[in-house]
Parts: sequence; C-alpha cells; structure tokens
Amino acid sequence: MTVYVIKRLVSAFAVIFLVLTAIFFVTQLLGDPVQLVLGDTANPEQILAVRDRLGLNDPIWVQYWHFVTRAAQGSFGDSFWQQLPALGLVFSRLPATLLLSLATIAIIVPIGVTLGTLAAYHQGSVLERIINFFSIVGSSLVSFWLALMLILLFAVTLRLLPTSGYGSPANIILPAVTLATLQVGTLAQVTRTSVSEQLSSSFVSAARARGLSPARVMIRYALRNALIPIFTVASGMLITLVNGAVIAEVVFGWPGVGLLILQAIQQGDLPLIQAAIFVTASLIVILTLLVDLAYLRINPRVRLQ
Amino acid sequence: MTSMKTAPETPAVVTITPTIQSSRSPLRLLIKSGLADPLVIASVIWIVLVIVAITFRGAILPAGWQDSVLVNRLKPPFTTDSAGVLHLLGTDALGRDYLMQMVAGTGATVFPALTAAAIGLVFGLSVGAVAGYMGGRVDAVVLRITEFQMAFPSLLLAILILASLGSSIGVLIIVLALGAWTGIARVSRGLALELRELAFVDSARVIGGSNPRIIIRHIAPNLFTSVLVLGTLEVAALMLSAAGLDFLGLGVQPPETSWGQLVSKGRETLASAWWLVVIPGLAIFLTTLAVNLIAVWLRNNLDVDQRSRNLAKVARKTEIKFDPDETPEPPRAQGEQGAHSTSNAILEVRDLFVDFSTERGVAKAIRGVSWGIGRAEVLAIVGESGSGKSVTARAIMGILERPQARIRRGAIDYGGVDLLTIPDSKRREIYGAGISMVQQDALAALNPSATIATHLIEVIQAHQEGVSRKEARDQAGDLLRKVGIPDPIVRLDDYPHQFSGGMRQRVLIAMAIANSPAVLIADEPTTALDVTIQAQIVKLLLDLRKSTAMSIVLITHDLSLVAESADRVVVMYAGRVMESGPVHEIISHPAHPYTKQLLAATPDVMVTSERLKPIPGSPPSPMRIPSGCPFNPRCEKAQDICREVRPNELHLTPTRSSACHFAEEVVSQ
Repeated sequence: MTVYVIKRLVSAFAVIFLVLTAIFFVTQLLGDPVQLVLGDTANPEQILAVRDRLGLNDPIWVQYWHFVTRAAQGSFGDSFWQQLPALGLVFSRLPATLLLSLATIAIIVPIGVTLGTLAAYHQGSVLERIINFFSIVGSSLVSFWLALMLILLFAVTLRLLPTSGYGSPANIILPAVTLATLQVGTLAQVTRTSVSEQLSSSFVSAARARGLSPARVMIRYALRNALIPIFTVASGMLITLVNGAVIAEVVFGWPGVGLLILQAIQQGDLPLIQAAIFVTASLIVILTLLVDLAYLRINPRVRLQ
Repeated sequence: MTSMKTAPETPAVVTITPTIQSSRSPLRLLIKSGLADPLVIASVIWIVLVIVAITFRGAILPAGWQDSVLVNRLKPPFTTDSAGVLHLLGTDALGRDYLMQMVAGTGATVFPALTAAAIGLVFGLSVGAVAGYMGGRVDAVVLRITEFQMAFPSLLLAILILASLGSSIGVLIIVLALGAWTGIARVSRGLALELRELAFVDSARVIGGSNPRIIIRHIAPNLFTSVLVLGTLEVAALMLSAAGLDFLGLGVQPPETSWGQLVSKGRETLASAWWLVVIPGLAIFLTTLAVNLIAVWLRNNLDVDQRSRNLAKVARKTEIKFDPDETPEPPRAQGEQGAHSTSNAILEVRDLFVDFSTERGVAKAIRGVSWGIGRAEVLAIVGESGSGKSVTARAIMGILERPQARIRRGAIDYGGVDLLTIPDSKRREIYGAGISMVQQDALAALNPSATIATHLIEVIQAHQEGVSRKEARDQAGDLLRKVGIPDPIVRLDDYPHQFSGGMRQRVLIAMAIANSPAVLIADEPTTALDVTIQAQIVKLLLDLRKSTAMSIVLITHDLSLVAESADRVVVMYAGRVMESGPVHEIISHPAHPYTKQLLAATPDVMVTSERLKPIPGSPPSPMRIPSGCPFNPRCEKAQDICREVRPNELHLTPTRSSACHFAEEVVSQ
C-alpha cells in the first residue's frame, strides 16, 4: 500500500511539472508581454529596459529554466494588472471557488443518491422516468442561461435572493443551485443503475434470507457496495466544478479563480494567467490523487493488495 | 417479428438464421420506434426547422433585417408595431424583429459545434483505433496524452487559446475539437481492442473454412452504432461549450450573431425585456435536447445489448398465462397434499407452483411440488440442474427473483402459519431464526465490504432482542469456533475475500445456525468445493444436526452425498416430484425409472459391476414440458399412456410414493 501511495505521489508531481511546461509554452503564444505591459505608445528605450528586466532577451530555454525554478519557489512574478504577487492573488480567490464547488456537491450528492436509490428500489416506477428526464435535461442546459433564468425568477421577479455578489449565505444559493441542477440527474442515474445492480446480487438475497430489515439491506448491502461508481462520478463532478465554474462565476459575479482567469486574460496579465492556471491544474491533480487514495478506504479489496 | 407467423412448434429454426432478417430490420425497427415516441418526433421536427433556418437563411431574412427601427424598441412577443407588422418573438433593443435575429444566428450557433464534432470524431477515432490496434508503446503514449489533457481544465485552455490567437470561427472550431477528441479516442481505443480480439477469433474460424464477411456483417455495424451515438452526443456537448464561449464574448464575433451572443447582449436588459434572454437560451436548450434525445433513441434501438435489455423490460410486464399445452390443475384434495410429507412435519411445502416470465415466454419452474420435513430429519432434494430444487428453496426463503418470478399457487407451512400469506415483517422474524439457509456460492453470498463480525453480529441482533454489540460479538466468536474456524477471534475482523472457499462455507453455516434454527436449508452447499473439503462440510452439518436437533433440507445433485447423509429423499424432475421415500429404500429399490436411470448414471452409489449408464437426452426446457409424464422422451419404459396421461402420485407404502404409471412394476424389479 505504501508503495502504491508513493507511486501515485511521484506521478502527480510529474503531471504538475508537465502542466508547468505546458503553461510556459502556451502562454508564449499570447504575444509580446512588453507590449501588454506598456501599451502601444511606449518608446523603444523603455521597451528595451523592460525586456531586460523581465529577462525576455535570454534564449527561450533559459527563460523556461527561470520560469520553472521560480515557480518551484512559489513565485510567478507580480501581476501586471494589480501590481501584486500573482500567486497570492490566485490564492486569495481560491476559497470562493472551493466554497461554491463544495456547496454544489453538498446539494448534488444527497439529492442524487436519494433519488437514485429510491428509483432502484421501486423499479419501473415514475421516479425512474423522472430521473432519466432530469439527467437528459441537465445535460442539455446551458449554464449561463439557467443562471439567468433563476436570477429572473428568484431575484428580479420574486425578489427573494440577491442577483449577484459574495459574502452572505444568500449569495451562494443561486450559483450553487444552477450548477447542481445541471448535474444532479446524472448522479441519480448512476446511483440507480449501480444500486439496482447490487440489489440483484446474491449477497443481497442472502441478507434477505437472514431476515434483515429492508432498510439495512438497502444501506449496508446495496448502497454500500454501489458506492464506488457513485463516488467516482461525484468526485469527477467536484473536479469539473473546481476547474469549470467560470461561467457561473461570471454571471453571478462570484469572485473565484475562474473569474480571475477570465479577467487576467482580458487584461493580458501574463503572470496572473500562468499562476491561476497552474493553481487550478495542480488542484485537479491533487484532488485526483485524494480520490484515488479514498478508493483505498471504500474498497477493502484494494486496500489489501 | 415475422417469426410469429411461423408454426409455433419450430422456434429453434427461427433462431438459427437471424442474420437474414437482421440485415434490414434494424433500420425499420429504428424508424418504427421513432414514430412511436412523441419526443423523438418533436426532436426531429425541431432539427428540421433548424436546418431550414440555416439553409434558407437568405430567403427568410427580409431586406434590411439589420436596420434599427428605434420606434419599435423592445416590443414583447406577439405584439404588432406601428406599421402593423406582427413580431412573433418581439423586437430587440434596436427595434429589429427578434425572430429574424434568431434565424440569422442559427448557422453560427450550430456550425462550429457540428464541424468541431466531425473533426474531433475523425481525429479521435483514428488516434484511438491506431492506439488500440498497435497496443504497446503507442498505446501507452496516447493514453498518457489523453490523461494529461484531461487534467488540464478544458474550458480554461479554450479561453486561453482564443485569447492568445484571437477569436475567429477557425480557432473556435479547433478549440472545440481539442476538447472533444480525447473522450472519443478513449472509446475508440476500447473498441479497437475488442475488434482485434474478435479478429483473432475470426481468423481461427477462417482456417476452419468459414466466412470472413462476419467482420463486415457483425462487427462493423456495432462499431458504426457506437460511433454514431458518440458523435451525436458530442455535437450536443460541443453546442453547450460553443454557447458558453459565445456568451463570454470569445466565440463568434460580430457582425456574425449567435444565440449565445444574443443571450449575452440581452442580459443587460434582463429585468425589462426578459424575452431577449429567454428565447435564444431556450432555443439552445431545445436544440441540444433534441440532439441528445435523438442520441438516446439511436442507442436504445441500434445497440444490441440495449435492445435485449429493452426486450427484457417488455417481458417483465407481460402477464403470466397458461400454456395451451398444459391445462390448469384443480386444487387437490386435502389428503393428497402430503403425499411426500412425513407425519408431524415442521416445515411443509404444499402444492407449490412457481412461474418465471422470460423474454421467450413463461417458464414453469415448479409445477405442484409438495414435501415436508420432520424434526431432526435430513431431507435430501435431488435432481438435475433445472429440475426446480433450488427454486423451491428460494420460494421458501422469500428470495425468488422479482418481478420475474411468481408463485402461482401453493402454501408453505411453518409453525402453524403459511409463509406465503403472512406479512413481510412476520416472515423476517422467521428467516434467519426459525428457518435459515446456506447458499451454494459462499463468496457471492457474503457482503464484500463488511467483515465477518459485522455479518454475524447483525444476524444475531436482528433476531435476539436486547443483545448488546459486545455480547453479539462474543457469540460470533463462539459460532466461528463451533464451525471449526481456527483463530476465531482474530478472523472475526477479516473480510470475506480473505477466507478460503471451505472456510467461507463454514462462515455461512455459522450465520445460519446463529439463532438456533429449527430448519436449515443447504442449497448445494458443497458444489463449489473440492472433494476433501466437501466431506468436512457435510460432516460439520451432520454433527450440528446431532447436537442441536435441527432439521436439514439438503439440496443436491450428488446422489452419493445423499446416500451418506440423508434420511429421506425427494427426487425432482422438470419442476415435479418424481418419487420420495426413505433413502435406503429408494437406493436399493427405486420406484421411478428416472431415479433408476439417475442411479445407474452415478458412480459409488450402485456398488454393482454394471457399467455407468448416462441418461440419454437432456431435461426439457421449462417452457416446453412434454405432455403426459415429463420424463417420457428419455424413459426406457415409456408407453403410449406415458405420452398422453400425466401420472398421479401413487402411494406404495405409507412412507413412499412415486409418480409413474408403472411404479409397482419398477419397484419390484
């Protein structure tokens, strides 16, 4: 088991390093950073001075080396736009992104798992169709439109919730509900399939033949063993949320990393773009690693290999 | 469906030549099912409208559709303007007809996603196919690349590339295709791997002189289906991504319009002019939904696995009907029901009928079975597989497969009540306490994610009131010791997969005896084990019977096991009891030709010099049971009467009965 953990750690580091490399070369395409810093009106002397200061006169592999070594020390340079250390700016936005992701998951998981389990229990019922319908509708909705519809209904017409903002608990409801609506059907569907598979297994009928209560059979036997696919899908959703809530953040003015990246791109803020993408990608790698380690806890058969 | 027209007696012929029909019927089936589903019809109509809007854009848009008419600003849908023109979808902030704006934006909304899906599909398919087919290093590299790209936030990558290279339709398509190809490559890699294996199988067949067209006929269509469904789903997903980029202002640029762009523009007037946001967003939603619904329809009707699943669903709903070849039996007289029972039985099955509904019709698994078991008795139920012996056990334990299985008639008496009529909660009190069961496959019968302690504690606590967890755990340790598991206290915390086959069977027995049952039903408890372990398990069961005076129903196909361990035997064939009686009498003087032929086919039991004689033929399908005596096609003694009249159960002695027209003749031989 220790060997497995070490292996996974090494490969996680390798991916983060690759991400760093990719960030460096992709952002080369962004154009001349000096132009971005100084604008079109700069004179040649100024440009030369800034180029020198930023090390842009060095060969590209030297620049790459500087980039990697500085990143290893936790520095991506100062943001052009806000004149503050870029990495610090990204970290200051991280709690908002994580909060929104976790709030969304906290809506999706209980509702999706409950609906899916009930549908598995009442096979062929209306609930099954409702779940299928929700899942297909959820995967056909555009997030920004759903967000605007919810704003129109709950904020503009009913005046129950704020349209956008950050800070009070009421602010998180609409963005989280928007993101959850898109995904809850899928999780319910996965749960239903997986639980009904377990319900038709031998150990479930054996448990019934021992006179155990239906609730116990459902929870300890069917649901417990259906947990692995449910967990896989739910953690995949969390990862997507952490990296992909840009649009929801834009619509609701939610000050997360996604919004920051979009602003940084619009401003041509090279260090900020690099730092933000690095943090998001690393977060995905770390979450994937945690998910793999969590499998060890869920599945006793993996644990002992 | 054409097979229904053929004679009812020739189902086998129809199943042998399915390729002749299947070459054309999928498409017909597909269209037929589509016409039956209003959602599919609506989706197709919507897609047609979208295509019309794109193709005839030039003809639909009136001259000057882009000119602003400020007097008509922000008119809601269904209003007429000053010139008396009806605006079905209202007007925008510049007073232009919104329907025309929508029509103008259709192409730019759909085209990038469609093109990107096509590119992603072609690229992903070829990369995946090459990786899957080549295997080895190429495969590993491709897998790494897709994994790496998946770790990279795809929307952020798209935003970054669009921001660096500038937004244009070309870049937009590339960015979208970049997000699409990895998933497709992974699926097509899997398909290619499968294909490669099938190709090997096929080449082996070619050596035998068969037809290589199998690949074209059978494998290619399946590949095509997967790709078609995958591509359709991808179009829907990319429409959403493209709309998102349009909304952020990174996708389609003015003067081109797209629906995503319209939503973004309309956002400024959300509070005053809702339709500017609602309509284009709804259009995106409906288009994506239509594409997704069509993908589901394709998958449900083209995919072979899915099709059989659908068939099974239909079969589940059909009501069980009697076959015309078997007339329903009237309930029997009271005295007859105990034909195979014993005086003062503690568990008695009376005249039990169990049916299964399947895709191909109703299978009659049990047709009028009766038997009873006395205190501390070992009753063996023997028969070939499919004779209905395990179904009887499952019916007693209330674990028949639902909703396919139904108990048509009968009673199961235990402790003065009929298990089939009492409420579930009352039955649960009996299962695991009064009657318990040991299953055949011990690994499958145990919860893989619970320890043995958990299993034992829960069954103890479910039936013994006021027992604490600690006390239950102590009992659990004693039980493991009782069934002969070494180091019982240590092993309590192990998981099922950590035990050997024989030890797992002991664990099942420990659970079964945890609440000192009156009857233990052992369903082929030793089949999965090797011979020495089999003997140990049987010895354990017999020892337990001796020490606890519980009765054991031993379900088995192993006659030598019966001879060693049982007191009485019930012989089953095709869902019926053929004969029953004390074990030594039946082995020395069988009263049914089936038993006789079964014994002749079993080593060890008949210690005569005769050679082993396997029974010719095979048991009948539970869907077509021969009329008369079910065994008549395989019987050495069969006469005309055996083919026409079903024999009744005949009492030879107070303890013996046989369902054979010639029982007395057979038993005296």
